[in-house]
Formats: sequence, structure tokens, C-alpha cells
Amino acid sequence: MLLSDDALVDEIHSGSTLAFGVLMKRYEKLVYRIAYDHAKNPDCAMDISQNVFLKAHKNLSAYSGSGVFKAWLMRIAYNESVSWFRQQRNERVTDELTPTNTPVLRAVQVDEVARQEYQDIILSELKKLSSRQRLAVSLRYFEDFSLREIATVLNSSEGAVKSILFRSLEKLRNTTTFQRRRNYAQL
Amino acid sequence: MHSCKQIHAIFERFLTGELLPSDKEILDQHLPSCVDCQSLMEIHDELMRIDGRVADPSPEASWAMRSSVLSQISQSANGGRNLRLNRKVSPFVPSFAAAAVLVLGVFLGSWFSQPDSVDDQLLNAITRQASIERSLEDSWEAPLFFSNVAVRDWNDTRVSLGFDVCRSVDLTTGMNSPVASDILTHAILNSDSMGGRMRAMEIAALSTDDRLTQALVVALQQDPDQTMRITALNALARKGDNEQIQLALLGALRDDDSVQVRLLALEFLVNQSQGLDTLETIIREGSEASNPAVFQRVRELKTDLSSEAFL
Repeated sequence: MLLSDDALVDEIHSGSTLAFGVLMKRYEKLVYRIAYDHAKNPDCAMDISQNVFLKAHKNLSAYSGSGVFKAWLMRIAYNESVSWFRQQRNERVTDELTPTNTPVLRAVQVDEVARQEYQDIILSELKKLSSRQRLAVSLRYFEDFSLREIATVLNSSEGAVKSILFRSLEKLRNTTTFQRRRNYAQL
Repeated sequence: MHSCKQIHAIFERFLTGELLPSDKEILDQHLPSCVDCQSLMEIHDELMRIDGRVADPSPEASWAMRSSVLSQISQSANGGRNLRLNRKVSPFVPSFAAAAVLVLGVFLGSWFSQPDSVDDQLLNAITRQASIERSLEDSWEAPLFFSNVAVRDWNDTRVSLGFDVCRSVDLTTGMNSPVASDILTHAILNSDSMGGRMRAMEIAALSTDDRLTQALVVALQQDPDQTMRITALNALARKGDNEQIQLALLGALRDDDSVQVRLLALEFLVNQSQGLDTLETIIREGSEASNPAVFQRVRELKTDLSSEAFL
């Protein structure tokens, strides 16, 4: 049983720092993942997360309180991450997969090497999508966001989100098919 | 036969779980004959299976980040400097926190070997800690000094604290002092110690400090352990019937997963002269699973009331 986000926001408006701590704890991992998606570095992702929460607290009066706090916060996370990324673009570090940031695959019941390989290709191609497309796919498939929540995060209509998701899948289909064929040809 | 372009609109609905019954039939007809759309479906299926999330941050790094944010918010609220957005500092924050713990550990180690004037030293250490780390609101995972403290006894002028189970020491400080409030708030929300939480809640029931009331409300709403939520409920009920407490009790009556907690909240609210019809409406808004038992109790209370009126 949890206190709703909006109830916690009301508490914060009444001066409770404790309530903001609860909200931070609730969403810090989600914010971190969005930040990490842009920063590709745990320390930078944590810096971005900190800024996101400070901005959220500062601008809390702008939140309408209509049950979409999570999406509202993720929008700040996305904007902050994009802005960080733009600032860093010139001295961007290479996107390396290290043991700490390698995407974790769910346990696969049967030993399906081909499937693992296919999933690896999808994950690697996912990184090549545009920032908005990547976020839409991540929120939809990995974070279980509703269409409405994704629309709030991306500041778009629900129709636009459907279209973004569809185009992303089309891109993934085209690139992964190419990759698979190339891998097959190399055998 | 539908073209791929016609299928796209259906596919968009499929991706967002809004497929119409007629759509399914069209897709079933189209897919076997179209390799492109089959591949699209394959990608969707794989994405549903993959966990593409990156590894979570370490608890220490998360704690340091939250502490830093809460501390900046507190300073800003107290009229201090503006919130400072961080660009480069935080990689050092976890190591700074670890260093702080180490220094405190060394300090405590040397202190434990000197039995003289331990009260003063402990009080100084706690006061210093409380003045540095003003983020005790975030006490669930705070791996710091106070984690080892258990409150053993408390009155207007004296606090008895225990360390690591076997050591204890008395402090002289009032129940409503900021240090005392910090320690109790931490103890109420400290997930490491159930005994510590229970004792702190019992003591907080006697305090008039608003912050402790707030901590009890958070414990009632969020503590994963039913016994702890019941203890928090009892403590709040003992504190009286101000609006904040009534709202918390109403929330527990409506939302708590435990029938026991909901029944207890009901008893307290009835004792606070809340109308049974109003309470019945609130119960109806809550979780279906626990409703029958709670409704049954409302009916019994109504019967009791009407017999009382008859007599």
C-alpha cells in the first residue's frame, strides 16, 4: 500500500521534505535509467538524476496534480538528459558496454543461442534509434508506461506516440534483418 | 486482401494494446502471407521478452544523491543559498559519505575504549552529525551513525540509547529537542530494525512534535510490515484526532491491504465520532478483497448503536 504521488505532492506543498524523499526513492531508478541512456556513464547519470530532482522540486508548482506525476517527472528527466547530452556532445565518451552497464537479459528458460543473439542485435540496434524513438520504445517495453504517460513524457499526442513506436519497430526490423543476414553470410 | 499500408494502422493499435476484435481477424489473414509484417511482429515479441533496462545504481550512490538533494532543498527552504545544479561533483559524493562513516567509526571505536565522559562525547557526536546531515527524513537506507542507535527509554529530560545491542548510554536532552526528533524520525523509518521502529513509534505517540506525527503517518502508509502499521496506527490514535491523523486513519481504512489494519482504523474512527454511513462510503472505495469483513463490522456496529438507542 502506497501513498499516491499526488498526495505526496500535496504534502510537499505543505512543507514536507520527507514526502519529497519518498517520491525520490520511488522514481530514482527510472530517472537514472533515462539519464543513463543519454550519459552512458553511471556517475554522469547520477549527476543528471540529481539535477532532475532539484528541478522537479523547484518547479513543483507547475505540476497540475492530475495523476501523471511519474510522466511529468520523466519529461523533466528526458529534457535534462537531452540538454546534458547537447552540452557534452563535443567531448562525448565512447559508448562502451562494460559489465556494469551491459543490459541484463531476463532468464531464458531454454538455451536458445540464436534467440540471445537476436536479442543482442535488437538491443544494439535500439541504441541507434533517435533519442525520442529510443525513449518511447524503452518506456513502452521495458518500463510498462501507458500510451498516455509516454505522450506526456514526449510532450506529444497519443497518436504521435503510436506513430513513433511503429516507425521505431520498422527501423529495428530493417536493421536487424540486415544484421542477421550479414551474420548468416559470415558463417 | 489488405495491403501492408492498411495493416499499419491496425499494427499501431496492436502495439498499444488497443486492438479491435475485427482487427485481429484482418491481422490473422494478412500475417501468414507477409514476411515484412511477420518480422515486425517478431521484433515486438522479442522486445516484450527482453529486459533492456540498465543495471540500477548502487544503494550508496542513490543515498548520496538523495541526501544531497534533500539537503539543498532544506537549505533553500531555510532562506539559504539557491538550489545548486550539479555538473561534476557527485562522483565524489559516495566516497565522501563513506569517508564520513569511516571517520565516525574510528571516532566511536576510540570513544568506546574510554569509559569516562561517554555521555558528553556521544551527545557531541550526535549533535555534530545531526547538524551536518540534515537528511534524516530519508532514513530507510541511511547507512550512517544513527543506524546503530536504538531508543530504550525516553522522558522529558532523558534519552536512553542502545548501541549494537550490548552497549547503552544515557543522554540528557529534552524529548522535543531537534536532535531527539531527528533520532526518533530516523528510528521510526529505519527498515533495518523492527524492534527499533516499534519502540520509537511508542515513544513518538507521547510527543507533540509535528515531524514525528508525520513520520508515523508515513509509517502507517508505507511500512511493509503489518505489525508496524498497526503500531503506527495505535500511536497516531493515541495522539488525538487532528485533521492530519484523521486523514491518515481514513486512508488506512480505505487502502490498507490488511483487514486487521482496516478494522482497527474503523474502531478508532468510530471512537472519534465519525458517522458510520460516511465510513461505509469510504470503505466501498477501497480494495474489494478486504471489504466483506470490514462491512460486516460496520453492520455489527450499526446494530449495536440501534440496540443502544432502543434501550
